[in-house]
Amino acid sequence: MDSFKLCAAAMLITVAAVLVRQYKSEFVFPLRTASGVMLMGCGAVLLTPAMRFLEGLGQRVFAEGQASMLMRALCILLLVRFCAALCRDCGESTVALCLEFAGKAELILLAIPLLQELLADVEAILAW
Amino acid sequence: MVKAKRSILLAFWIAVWGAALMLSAAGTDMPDLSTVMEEFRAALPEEVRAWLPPTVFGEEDSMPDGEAVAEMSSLPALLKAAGETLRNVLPSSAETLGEILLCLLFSALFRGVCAAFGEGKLEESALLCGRVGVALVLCGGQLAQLNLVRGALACLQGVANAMLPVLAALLAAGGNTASAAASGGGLLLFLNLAENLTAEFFLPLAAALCGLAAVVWLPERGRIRSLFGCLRRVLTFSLALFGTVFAAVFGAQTLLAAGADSISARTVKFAVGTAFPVIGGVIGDSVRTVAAGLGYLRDTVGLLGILLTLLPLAAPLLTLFLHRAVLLIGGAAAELLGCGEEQKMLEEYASVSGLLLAMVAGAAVCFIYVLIIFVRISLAVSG
Repeated sequence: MDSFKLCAAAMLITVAAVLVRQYKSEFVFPLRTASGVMLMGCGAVLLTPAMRFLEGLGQRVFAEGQASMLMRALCILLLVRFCAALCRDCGESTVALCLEFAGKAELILLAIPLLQELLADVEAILAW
Repeated sequence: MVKAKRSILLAFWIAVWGAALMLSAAGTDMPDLSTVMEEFRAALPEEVRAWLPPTVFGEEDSMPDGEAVAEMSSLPALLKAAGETLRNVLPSSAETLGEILLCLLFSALFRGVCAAFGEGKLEESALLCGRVGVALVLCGGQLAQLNLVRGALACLQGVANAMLPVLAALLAAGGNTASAAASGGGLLLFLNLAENLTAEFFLPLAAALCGLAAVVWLPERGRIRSLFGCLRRVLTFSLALFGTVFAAVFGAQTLLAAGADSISARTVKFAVGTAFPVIGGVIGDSVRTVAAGLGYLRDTVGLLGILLTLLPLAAPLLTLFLHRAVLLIGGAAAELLGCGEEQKMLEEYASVSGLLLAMVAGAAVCFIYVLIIFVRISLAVSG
């Protein structure tokens, strides 16, 4: 039932945005941002149990700190995607591209400690 | 009378084997029987030592306790020992399987959440974090397996190497050099070479494969995968070649009287041939000879001698067998969950684990042959 409500809300917001663009185009961006935040928030609330399960699973499988690192990667992904989409909607594709590049760099930065540990293990095996 | 004779032969065999262990380190005078037995008892794996009755090696300067030997050779005691071995080995394998399955579940869920945001380079970067984490977990258990194999091979190699100077001393003392050397000296040397080759060449190559398997899933992995495949082909070919030469050297199999070619023997041969990769056929062909050899050992040093030979080999073989099964199950589970990269990694690990199992099984068969030939020559030389 949540999906129906979300779809209905999204349709209303879209219609409202079309109407507002005809009269006051400068209010379209705040309306779009607010609706995006609201819909993203609803999606995040729906995703929370899955994320908690994933985090619990990660804490059982990985060493301390590694699970939180992976959850942080997901949060970065979500945030960067949302902001890049907003930038594209406003016609700023260059800004969106640069933001995505920064997001990828941060994700790779997160992966580096894990890669270092993995390569240390591989080195231990190869030097065995 | 028969029990006394077996006790005497067993004491002699233990003394010779214990002396072989000690001569390899000290190279000095032969120690007395109680010291040899004490050293031998200390050299046994802990789980084997815990299973043996305390009086099985007898009191100081006396013969092994025949009643204790009979007690531990009975069927209930053997079944109990088998159950305890399984109880020691199964929990760690079950824990590894649980860890792998949880890891795969995490990977599948992580991949699903990333895919929910879209499919692009950004998601691939996030997936890289997930894959590295999973690879870290899967790689963790491989070093323990390599150490287990190294320990088992080192034990076999040490005893096999130590027998050579003892054999030389026996030959010199007995004066019957020609016949004793002709009967098995050359074969003993070949088997020693096989043991050393396994420990010094095959095992480091398998370790290199384990290391490469941990990174074979990385992006731009074409070259790494080619290198992995090339090394695996080299190791498989080397093992197969060694197995062929081994079968050719023992081709006559008339050194030890072969048992009857019964249906049960063929069944065991088929099972063994299927269970061990690469050299399964060679080991399967050796089953009759090994059975005949163990029968020869039983006639000379009794059932205790066979048990003390086989027990230290059982735990490493069982552990490796279970570890390989765990990796294969993990690979199947990864395929079910759609984790393609993890599936490839687990399959590569399973193939390396199979090669490790083949190495230890081959070394165990060689070790049994070495023991049998050593006992045969020792008894022939001592008259």
